[in-house]
Amino acid sequence: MLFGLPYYLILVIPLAGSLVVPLAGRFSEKLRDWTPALLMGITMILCWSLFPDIGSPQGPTSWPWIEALGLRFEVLLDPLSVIMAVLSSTLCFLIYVYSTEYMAHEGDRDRFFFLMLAFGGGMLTLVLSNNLLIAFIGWEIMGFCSYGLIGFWNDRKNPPETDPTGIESKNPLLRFETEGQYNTHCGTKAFVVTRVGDAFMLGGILLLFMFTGTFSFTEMAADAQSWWQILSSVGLLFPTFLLIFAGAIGKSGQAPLDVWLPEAMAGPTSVSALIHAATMVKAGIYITARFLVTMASAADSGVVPEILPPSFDSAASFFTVVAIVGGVTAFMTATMGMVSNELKQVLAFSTLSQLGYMMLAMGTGGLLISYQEAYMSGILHIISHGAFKALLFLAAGGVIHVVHTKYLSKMGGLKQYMPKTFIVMWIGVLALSGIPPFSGFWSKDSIIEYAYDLALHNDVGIFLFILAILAAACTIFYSIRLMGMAFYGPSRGVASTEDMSASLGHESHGHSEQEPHTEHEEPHDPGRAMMCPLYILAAFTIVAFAVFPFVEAVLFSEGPMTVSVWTSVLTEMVLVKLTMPGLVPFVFTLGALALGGIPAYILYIGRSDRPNTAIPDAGIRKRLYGFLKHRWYINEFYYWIVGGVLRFTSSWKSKIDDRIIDGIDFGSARTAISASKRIRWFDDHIVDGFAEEISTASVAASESSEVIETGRVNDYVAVLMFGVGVLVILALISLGVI
Amino acid sequence: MFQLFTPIVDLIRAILSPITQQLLQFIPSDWLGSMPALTLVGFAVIALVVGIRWNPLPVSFIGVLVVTIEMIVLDPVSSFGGLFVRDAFSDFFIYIILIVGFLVLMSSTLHSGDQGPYNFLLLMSFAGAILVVTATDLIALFLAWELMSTPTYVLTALSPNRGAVDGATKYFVMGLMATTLMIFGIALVYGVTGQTSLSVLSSTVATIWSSGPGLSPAAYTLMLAMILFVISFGFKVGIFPGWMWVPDTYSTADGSVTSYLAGATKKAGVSALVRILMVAFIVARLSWAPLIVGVSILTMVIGNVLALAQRKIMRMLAYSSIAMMGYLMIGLAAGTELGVAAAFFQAFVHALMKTGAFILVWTISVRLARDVTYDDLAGLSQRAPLASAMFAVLMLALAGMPLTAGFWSKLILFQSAVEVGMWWLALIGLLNSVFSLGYYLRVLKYCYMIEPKDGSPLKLASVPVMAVVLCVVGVIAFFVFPGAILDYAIGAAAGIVVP
Repeated sequence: MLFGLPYYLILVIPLAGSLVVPLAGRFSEKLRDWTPALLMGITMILCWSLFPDIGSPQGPTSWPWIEALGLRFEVLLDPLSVIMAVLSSTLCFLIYVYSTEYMAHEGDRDRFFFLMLAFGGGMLTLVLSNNLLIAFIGWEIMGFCSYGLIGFWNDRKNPPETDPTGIESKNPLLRFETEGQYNTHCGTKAFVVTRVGDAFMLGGILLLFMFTGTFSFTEMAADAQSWWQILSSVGLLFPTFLLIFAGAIGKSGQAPLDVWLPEAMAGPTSVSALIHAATMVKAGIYITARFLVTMASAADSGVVPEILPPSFDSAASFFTVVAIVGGVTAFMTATMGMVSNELKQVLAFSTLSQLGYMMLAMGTGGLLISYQEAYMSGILHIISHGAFKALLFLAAGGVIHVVHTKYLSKMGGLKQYMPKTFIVMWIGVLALSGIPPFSGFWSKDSIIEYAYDLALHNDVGIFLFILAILAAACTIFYSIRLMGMAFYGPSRGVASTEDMSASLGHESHGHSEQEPHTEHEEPHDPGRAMMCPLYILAAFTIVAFAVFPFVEAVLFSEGPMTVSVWTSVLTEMVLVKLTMPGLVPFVFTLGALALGGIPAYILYIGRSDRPNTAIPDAGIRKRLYGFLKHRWYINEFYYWIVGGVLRFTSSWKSKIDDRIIDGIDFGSARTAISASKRIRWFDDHIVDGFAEEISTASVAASESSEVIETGRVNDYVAVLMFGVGVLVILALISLGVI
Repeated sequence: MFQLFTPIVDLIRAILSPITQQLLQFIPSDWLGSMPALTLVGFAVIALVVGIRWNPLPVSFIGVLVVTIEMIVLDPVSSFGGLFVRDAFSDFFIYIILIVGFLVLMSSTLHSGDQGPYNFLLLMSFAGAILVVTATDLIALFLAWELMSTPTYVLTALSPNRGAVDGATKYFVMGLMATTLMIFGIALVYGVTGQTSLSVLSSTVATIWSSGPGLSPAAYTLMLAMILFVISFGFKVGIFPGWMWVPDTYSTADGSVTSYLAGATKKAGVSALVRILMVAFIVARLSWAPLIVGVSILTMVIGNVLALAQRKIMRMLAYSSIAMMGYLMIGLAAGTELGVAAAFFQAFVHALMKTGAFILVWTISVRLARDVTYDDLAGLSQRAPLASAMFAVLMLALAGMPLTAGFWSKLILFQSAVEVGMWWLALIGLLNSVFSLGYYLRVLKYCYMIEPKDGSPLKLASVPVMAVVLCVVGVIAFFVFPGAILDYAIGAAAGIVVP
């Protein structure tokens, strides 16, 4: 509907509006800070108004971009993209509102709000585009904005705050002199790691285009049968989708490219919330879901058994990979979260773990006979996770804002100082760990339920089900640990505020410069612009179950919602947990919650008078702790490789450029010297001094050529002739002689 | 042929038609196709004479503008008995050369633009480059090649940089080497076929190849000749195995000359390669494709790996332009119409990006009176916000990020490779482009994230900065309207690639 406006406005408003932000800054600081919130508010309203249009044709908005490639710009209005657009724009709006207060004392807000708004625009481009390539452009816009935003605080001069329980890294790449360097490094890391996935993805997109002849999702879905069969007949179906999935792995931080997200916490909290809840990391899930829908749309239900028998193996193996990657990520990152000492990093690990659940849901959907239910549970989890994760991050930002440290072991006892934050944080944490009736329970438990369903048919399913259950246990453990360490126990945050502020913690730099008096105040709840989004999100988290029937209706175009339908869906949601076969996974989940929750409660809340920094100091528990603290050594492994590559390039430069080529030259100089010495010795008495002149001249000649840079002409010619040889050999091979 | 700019072209033609009619009577019809080059030679002589008393730079500007108008109003025809031909393909490259030439002249206001010899040599080289892209005969190509190259040897030596003579010497010696190999190749071709005209050659090659490449000794000789051509023309392009002079010369030469070398003579080399491979040796495509693939991969890897280790920006850009040419070779390796069009599009976009980047670095370098290193860029966003923003855009364009034309040029190249089944080549290219972020992002990091040692504003000369602004605007505009150039590139490729 869009009130009669053209659809592309939804993308143009944030993207073009981001350019206006610095201009607005010339007139008024306040106007500039509120511009993103305002524009995103408009966009949000437009997105909400898309609901009646789902499924409508796109004729007039189609704009030919590159005719030679058949590249057209179209807006895709199907349930998935509209739900994603509504979710992203709404969360972006709330986060921008929050940022107006949160960032109020920071410098260079032009850059910040420009990147924030462009980020939102990139996400909307991704989800609303009907064109894989243009979606990819949105994808890349987000990548670049994340780079700028994560490294936003690049001007911090203070040395980075060290983790009291941390492990000293020996890698020279990880030594930072200032906080700013660390932040820059984190931004670069996020960009480069996701770009690795992106490169594979672009390769996959091009490969897919080769067989489908179109970038358009709808056209792809229309003749899925034919390209599907061609692709599988040449054996490229599985590789193509794996390549595309590599992009999703990178963006959504799935194993093994999960390493960038925990460091992405270096940015301001609103950035973390934006990346985790509303945009970026959801992109990978979205693309996977999009392909699930596209593949499944060729038939009424189920990707694998019915519709495409010839390529059974490829489709099944692809979705098996998706499910396994999801399950492993969910479990692996949840265990890492159990030992992290950084408030936001715990949340980051929880994001990774929840994303793993979503990926698991997508994979399960592709493997089950009927994809809809598992797919829907994944979408519901995207929605509920978006809300509660935004809530948690924004609340955590408030905490860090007032206690001036990011480390949990330096917090504690904040309950009495920040009662409102304390309550909303509990709501978020309960939803995260999947306690009924909060939003997270409904979505996560149904994902586990379908994993169980898969386990009944499939051996891989058993493995996935176990992983999902264990991850749920870990989730509640770190959730309660987080609350216990931050809010319960002796109020260490206040007692040591002085030395905290003396050491100028993570978030306090710009803040303390302008408002030094706040440092010595007691921690307190943040102001209205920061709390309002929190209340909205908390309210949604509690009543989400009432919204889910609507989502389901939209997702499967089930027609108008009536009260009777709504109540029946709700009853079914509850009943399915209490009757067979849904009862079995439900009981398992409850067991897992008890398994993780009770020890955590005893350790971190029950004995709240005890210091909350207990670290196992011996035996298997210590080794396990170290293993988890090192994040399964995956991160270090990458650094080891990157360090190796860097050493290689510099050694190539120093060895080949400097040593070998110089060596040749020094060699020739030495030969010249020794030769000329011999000549002199031989000829000394005959041609007096003549030879000496030769030797000095040749030495001088070779020395003079050594002055500039590295290159020597004679070596260049030698390399050129060597190249001729290489090419001749190549040609002989291509002629079939060798 | 003229898709987007047709109305403008028609308008200019209509306005100027009375004058054109008058002038055409004086010009021998056989010269008509080469008039742009001949005019440039004329203006070069005028600039030399004017330069004795006055600043000759305006003469050069007028010369380039007059030639552009000539290009528009004169019909593309062949000249000198078909030795030089203006067709869609050569026109595309002539316009690249003229655009780069204009930008280079703008940048020449910084240094030595007021000297007669400098302008003379530059315009002569422009003329040579135009002749190279129009030449359809090996002998004509060789002559034009020398006319283009010889002035640049002197120009690189004229630089204020201390190492200029060293860089020029390397360039000169390597250039001589390449020329020798080229002559050798021409001799081999002539010895086997008795032909030097490329179009005639193609039918001869077809007969030789029809008996199967493994059978005839003539085929081996021709393959050797072709290898020599790839090396000697590729030397100017800066691809394996003749890349080594590029960083030395680019970093020591006058920045304006560098941007001319990177923006225009490189492209002339590309066009010569395309003419030889796609016109004369098209029948032997399956034989030379592996060669070009090898060259492409080696060039990409060498350029990207060594760029990472550089400290001076000029050297980094030089290595990055080596890598860029490696990507371009992917299009030639694909050998289809789309592949060649992608290569042309990349040539155009690369001309904009690299010319802009080199001029910008040169402007900063002249202002600071030293070679620009990464440390000199620290805090550029505070010292010169406009320059810094433009630098960022150009780097992102080189890295192939969306919202810049560099995205499309790389994408289409990779796509052309995928289309002919060389998806592994596209993947290597993609991974290389990820790798290249390592050094492009470093520029951004220094510009935006590192505090300057000396925070005073850096005032840059305005005319060269204007030239860079034009490049940046182009880079962004051609992301939104890639069709404006791509259509011409496809037209040019369609004219040359025989399906």
